[in-house]
Amino acid sequence: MRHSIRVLWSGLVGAALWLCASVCDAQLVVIVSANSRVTTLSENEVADIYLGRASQLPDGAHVTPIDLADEAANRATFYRIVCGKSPAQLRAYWSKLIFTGAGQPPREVGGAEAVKRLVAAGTGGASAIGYIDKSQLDATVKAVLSLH
Amino acid sequence: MFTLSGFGTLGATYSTLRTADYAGAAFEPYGAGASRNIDFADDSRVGVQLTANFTSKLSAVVQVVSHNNYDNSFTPTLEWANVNYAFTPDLNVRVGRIELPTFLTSDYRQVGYANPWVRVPPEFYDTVPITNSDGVDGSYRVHIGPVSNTLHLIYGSSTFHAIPGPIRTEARGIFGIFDTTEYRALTTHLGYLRAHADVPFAKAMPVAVYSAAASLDMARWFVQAEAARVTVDGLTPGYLAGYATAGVRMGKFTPYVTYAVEHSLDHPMVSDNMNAGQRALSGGVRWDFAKNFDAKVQYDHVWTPQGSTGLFMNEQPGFRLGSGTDVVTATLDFVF
Repeated sequence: MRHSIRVLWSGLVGAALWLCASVCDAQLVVIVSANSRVTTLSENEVADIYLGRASQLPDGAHVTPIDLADEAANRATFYRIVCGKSPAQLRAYWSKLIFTGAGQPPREVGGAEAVKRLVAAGTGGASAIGYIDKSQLDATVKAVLSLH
Repeated sequence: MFTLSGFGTLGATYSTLRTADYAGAAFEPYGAGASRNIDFADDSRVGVQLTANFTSKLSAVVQVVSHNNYDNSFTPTLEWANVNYAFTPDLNVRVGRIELPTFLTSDYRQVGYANPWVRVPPEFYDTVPITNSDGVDGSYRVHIGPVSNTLHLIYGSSTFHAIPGPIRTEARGIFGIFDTTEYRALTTHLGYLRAHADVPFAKAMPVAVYSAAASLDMARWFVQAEAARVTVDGLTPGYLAGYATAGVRMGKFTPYVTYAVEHSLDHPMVSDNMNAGQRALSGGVRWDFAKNFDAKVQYDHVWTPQGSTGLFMNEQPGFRLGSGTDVVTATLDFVF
């Protein structure tokens, strides 16, 4: 009995460590198309785009923000770091803009692959911006901001 | 192309004072206290909005809201209906029925989910009960480094029913200029609005509103304060009004406190308006218990200066000027 508890306990600790290694180490990067002239963005510039306050990149190109679904862990991390807002705070923020006709929240997609696809190709003639795990970077997109 | 969204609040309001009504908004015919023991209409409302994006430049919005009207009906009213043309994403012109952004939260004052309280502080917001204007507006946003600044001009007219409800009021020649600055978590709002008010017994009474507001919305806490000077010559004694509110975010719970003041300027009047000001100290908590839902409980201690009815209505025999009440309100807010 005591032995099995110890095994269970060490298993739990191991699982927690593994979870932390994969979650705590996950580093988010903000991405634009590999063809974009933009090389770097500040947290402020990214925050303004995702909060509907700015619609252009520093090079003047129109930009569409691409978001992850509400339940995605990376989404909560992204908004906590970039905008200093919790998911509930963010929903209250958008309800202010929606119900004044002042804007709609960013388009949501299912996962990192869909984010990369849209960011690489752009949407409706405009540039797109997104965020993914650093480990998911490939040649179609480039990182313009690392989030810690 | 079409987006349907909505918001609503279900509220229950209780007031200890039995000789007058405490009402949650300026248009309501009844409140909690004298007319109703617990008033479910006071702070309840529902709104539906349809947004249409015809092209990337041309869009339209229609919003219909149902709440307890001055005639005690819940007949939905057309809150906004306008067409927007975006010359650039930062330069917009609208025509139609447009929200009047008199104060910091005026344009979403009815959306409980977007506000920290069970209702906007009436001592401040009821000084200008008009929420919309029929006419045109234009807004221009500039980005100066990390700061974005929006200048907003509006011109139009509005017809509404103010306390006491049956009095039809017309505001003509509404002209407003508003400036909003956003820098990270900080928002500031400056406003000037003028108009002429017509009521059945007085015409072309000048209205002037000067206002200033600031809000700091941090991850763990927020503070927000507004101040205004509102005069409607001949119809009100003129008011200096303001409030300050602060809250702390603790996971799903956001406790807050608010102090609000409406102070009379004692200007001469042709109407028998007995509201010479009101004050309130409030405390409450918001609980974000599910996605797109919150529940709130708020306690208000309300008092009025000597000789003032404050914002109370339906005063009964035995009501004393310069009294007050304690109010407890529970609300459920939702958006979709």
